[in-house]
Amino acid sequence: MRNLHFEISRLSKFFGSLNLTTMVLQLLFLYFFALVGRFDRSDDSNILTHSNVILALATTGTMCALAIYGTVVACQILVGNYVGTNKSQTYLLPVGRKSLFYTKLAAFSLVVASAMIVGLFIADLVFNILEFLFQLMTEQPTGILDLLTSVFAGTFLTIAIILLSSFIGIKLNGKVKSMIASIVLVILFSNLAAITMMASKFITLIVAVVSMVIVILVGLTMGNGIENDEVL
Amino acid sequence: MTRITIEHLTKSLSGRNILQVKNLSCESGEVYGLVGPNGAGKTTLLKCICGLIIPDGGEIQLNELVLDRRTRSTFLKHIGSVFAQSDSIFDLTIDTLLTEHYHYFCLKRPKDWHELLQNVALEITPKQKIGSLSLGMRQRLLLALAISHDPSILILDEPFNGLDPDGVNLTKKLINNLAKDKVVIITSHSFADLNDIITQSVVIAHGQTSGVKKLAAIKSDFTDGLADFYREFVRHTNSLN
Repeated sequence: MRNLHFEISRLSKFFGSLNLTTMVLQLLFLYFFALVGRFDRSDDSNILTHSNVILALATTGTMCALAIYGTVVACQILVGNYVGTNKSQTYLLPVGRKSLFYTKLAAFSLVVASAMIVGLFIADLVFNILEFLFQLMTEQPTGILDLLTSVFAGTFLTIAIILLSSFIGIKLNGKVKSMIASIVLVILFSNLAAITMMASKFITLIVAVVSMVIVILVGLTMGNGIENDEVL
Repeated sequence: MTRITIEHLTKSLSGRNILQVKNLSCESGEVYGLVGPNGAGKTTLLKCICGLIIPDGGEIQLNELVLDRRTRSTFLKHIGSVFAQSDSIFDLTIDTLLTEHYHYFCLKRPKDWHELLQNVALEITPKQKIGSLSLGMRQRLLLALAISHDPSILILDEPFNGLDPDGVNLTKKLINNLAKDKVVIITSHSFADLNDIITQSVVIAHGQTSGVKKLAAIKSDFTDGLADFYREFVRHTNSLN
């Protein structure tokens, strides 16, 4: 716990920027899709009159941007400690390698998750409140349950992408490889996220939870690998 | 007294034997110079002692403590080391690096880092980024880090690299002071620098080590001292390989 508190305190400087980026991006995407839905009368944009679709697309857009930004941060504070000769500095600390790795992962995930959850929730809430005052959508805004489901689903999926990209970077011994992996994973996950969020938020939440379970299992395997790793 | 013993240590890589250390014993109060040609296995041996490389066979013992995966964390508490500088620390401030080090070594953080930095003649602000320091200043910073937790064993891989003459003299002075109650193991390609500070020497070539020999004995047995001791052992192992 002592080490977890320490790692969280080190990462707390990123909370503000992640939180603000999340809020700004989510609001921008919400208004973008709402405006397109309101003013574009073509048949293709019919779906953009539905509040759940606007929320789904906005959350997916925010998720994509944050996954890449989060991976940039992860490369600096996580991946960088486990690639090449940089590993020496980390492995020479008198603490179990596996335990330190899990602590860093947990601290990173907690900081990113809390920044995103707060950011997404506030942005969605602000949008919904402003909708009552200056209505853009033809439908009522989404209810609180749908809102919370999309917030948590979006957060879990984003963290899953960031961590999987980080694991790929560590395994392939390069920060650039993490970045490339994050772009590829964003492309793969974003379609899945958008379609499931539009269809059913609960299915999206299940997909997000399953992604996190996969990430945890991969993380546990990575930890075992790090325990037996060598710096040649 | 601290003693580190290495027995029958072996390590292979891609089918090639890179380490075959029969017996080596180092005690506190001595400065051991580990010399050898490039690729001989010097850094590999030091990394084995620090748990960065897992040997295929043999044993490394610190007093009664045998190094393995379970005892590695405890082992590392007694070791201070400086290896090649890694660029992961360049974006960190001096304060961040020192804070992390003090946290994980369970040391009480001082009010400021001034005294620690002064010990290695660094007049810099802790808010500075490590990447903005010169190579020699980074080397001295890492040395300050390595000795901050008062380790029983100090491992310095090429500590004079990148240092100006003042830096070299300061490092030698520090090593001499620290050696009073520690095991100090250093590697260097400069016999002149080693002759000034080491008390014992080991030569390594093709992963094999000579026995530990006192510098005084080397100087009396060999015309050119350490250089001749080194050349003879390298010639001997070359003929065997």
